[in-house]
Amino acid sequence: MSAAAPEGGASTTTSQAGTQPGTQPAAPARRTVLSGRGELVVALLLLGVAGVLVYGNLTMDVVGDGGLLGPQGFAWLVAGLCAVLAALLARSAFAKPEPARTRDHATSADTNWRAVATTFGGMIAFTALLDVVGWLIMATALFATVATGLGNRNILRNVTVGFILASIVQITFSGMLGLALPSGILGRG
Amino acid sequence: MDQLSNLAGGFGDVLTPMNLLWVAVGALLGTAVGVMPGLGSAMAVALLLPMTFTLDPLAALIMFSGIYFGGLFGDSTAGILMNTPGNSTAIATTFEGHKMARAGRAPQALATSAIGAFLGSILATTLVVFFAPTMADLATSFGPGEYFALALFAFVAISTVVSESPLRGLAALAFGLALALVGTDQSTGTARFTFDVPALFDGISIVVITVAVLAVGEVLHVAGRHGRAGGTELIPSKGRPWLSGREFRRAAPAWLRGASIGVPFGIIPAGGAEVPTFLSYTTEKQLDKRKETPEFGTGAIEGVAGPEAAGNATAGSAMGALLALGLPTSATAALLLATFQQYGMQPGPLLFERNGEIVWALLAALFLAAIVLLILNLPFAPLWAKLLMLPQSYLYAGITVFASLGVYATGASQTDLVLMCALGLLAFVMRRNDVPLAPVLIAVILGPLAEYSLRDAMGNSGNDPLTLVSSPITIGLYSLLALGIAWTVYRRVRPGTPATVAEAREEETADR
Repeated sequence: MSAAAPEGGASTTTSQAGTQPGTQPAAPARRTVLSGRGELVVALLLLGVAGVLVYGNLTMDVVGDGGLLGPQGFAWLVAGLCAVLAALLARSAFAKPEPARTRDHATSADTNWRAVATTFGGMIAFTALLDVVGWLIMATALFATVATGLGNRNILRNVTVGFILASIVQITFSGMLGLALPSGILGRG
Repeated sequence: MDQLSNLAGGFGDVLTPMNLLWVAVGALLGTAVGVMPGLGSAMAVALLLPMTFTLDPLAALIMFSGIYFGGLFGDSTAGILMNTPGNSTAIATTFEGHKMARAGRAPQALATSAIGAFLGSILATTLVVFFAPTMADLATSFGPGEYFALALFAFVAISTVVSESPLRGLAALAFGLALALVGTDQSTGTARFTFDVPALFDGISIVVITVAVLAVGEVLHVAGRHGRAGGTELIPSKGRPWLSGREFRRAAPAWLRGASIGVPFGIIPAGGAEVPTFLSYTTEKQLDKRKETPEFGTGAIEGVAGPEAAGNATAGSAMGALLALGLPTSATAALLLATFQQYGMQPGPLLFERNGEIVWALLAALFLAAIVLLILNLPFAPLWAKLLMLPQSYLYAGITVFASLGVYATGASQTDLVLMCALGLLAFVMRRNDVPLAPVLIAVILGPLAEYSLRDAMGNSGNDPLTLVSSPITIGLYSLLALGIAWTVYRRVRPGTPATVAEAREEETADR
């Protein structure tokens, strides 16, 4: 029986059994120095944030006198915090005991990257084309992409349901609540 | 009793057909979003915020009172019937609740949970009515030093004491603090980290961050797990949702104990209702062990009653802290803060004087919302569970569309959508590595408060760092924080007890 998984996120999903031992498919054989050490990605992101903060601070056009800390002081503190945490995370990633590493590696290798890529691709396309193509078409496409990405292969029905949802949103929000949604290519016609 | 006459005035404002309709709409929408797996009341408020842009302030806040409690009423339904809690606040309820459902007592579990949520909400809101004005008076003496102490308290509490790994909690906090820095500096007008993108001059909206981190991150996480998860099964809830006299007598003390555990946690900025719900669950379990025939593990009604009352009591008193101190103690409260600010109102000590009418109307609306939600949830919980039969693909596709709509509606800007994608990806990476998401939101919310009060405190005192520990309140807060850290260290060092919520959860799993 699947119980609340030990995932620390703010929310819990329907799909928790994947992290439980026993429900895995055969453990993948390929392993590198980096496998099972996903924390390194977080450490790298923290370093990136620290870099952006330092660069931003150095190139900042400071207006007026901000006192001791000024507009930059707190950012220096946060940048320092990010750098220290990145170092500590990297250290903990390499000091991770073998069983924990094997488990983390199995969990991360057991990811449906195709579904993630399809879903995220849909969001990127929506972001890039919304202003040009318009809400109705792009929201339909977004719905259909995510639904297809999540394993629903009935594409025609996905598009239909998406179109109905997009139209309802357009009518209630744009028509009744006066929220401006881009009409895009359909609006010019 | 000024409070009672003010509250009566509030009820007078709310009891119009139109405003009652807003309460009901809020309660319906809040429950609907709360029932969805992975979406709690913070998401309900974030997704529905754009809908209120065109409403007048009173109507919007009244509707939010329904959404606010509604998310908490709904989240236990999925937990009880499917063993997939709608939100982290419902995990504690799920342990015994799902076992009750398996034992054929689903209607009783749902009823216990609905009544518990109702009692928790009502008790906490009553306390807020009587004590919020006093708290507001006290808070007028708060200076920048006190506010900095409060913010620092929240940061350390959420990232180290509450979270499972202090290192990961602090990493999440750092991401949030960095996000909060973007935008025009309030005291000098300097553009910070905007990189000449005009949309960033006002900073990154809390709505964009919440939706991206909670909803988009969740959708990507579900996609990554798709086809890998074990199946879940919905247990039908058949029969009348009435409790027998015996069940009621057993649940009643648990409701009250849960509510009294929950109330203090609403005022402490420690990240919402997850901790009190688990504390209440543990308390009930300990009490159960003293009985001749312990029932925990077989579906004990107390295990549903306590945590559910605790969760809603926390939400109720969090509203008090928000209104009286201007201090958001959870992500949901922070979004409500954003709603207030959108209408030019600043929660805090002066709110009761400046916008008294609206505050009392909001408090009255919270009472009404709890009543409406009890009516909606007690007999109709099985109907809500039908929402869970939506195919997962459509559910998450719909969430994605509404998330994008919510983000676009906040500023009609492509930049916000780009940020949504980027932050959603960040949340996905964080979740894969067990980095908690709650500290990001708390840091984004309280980061500016911490920064500006620190700078003000320094400026007012001629850069004397001792000004930060110069009042009884600050000394008290720092001592409390030191105690919390000491307690955490002690629990981690002491063998044999679960040090963290996660370990307690793992232990639960192992117990079966």
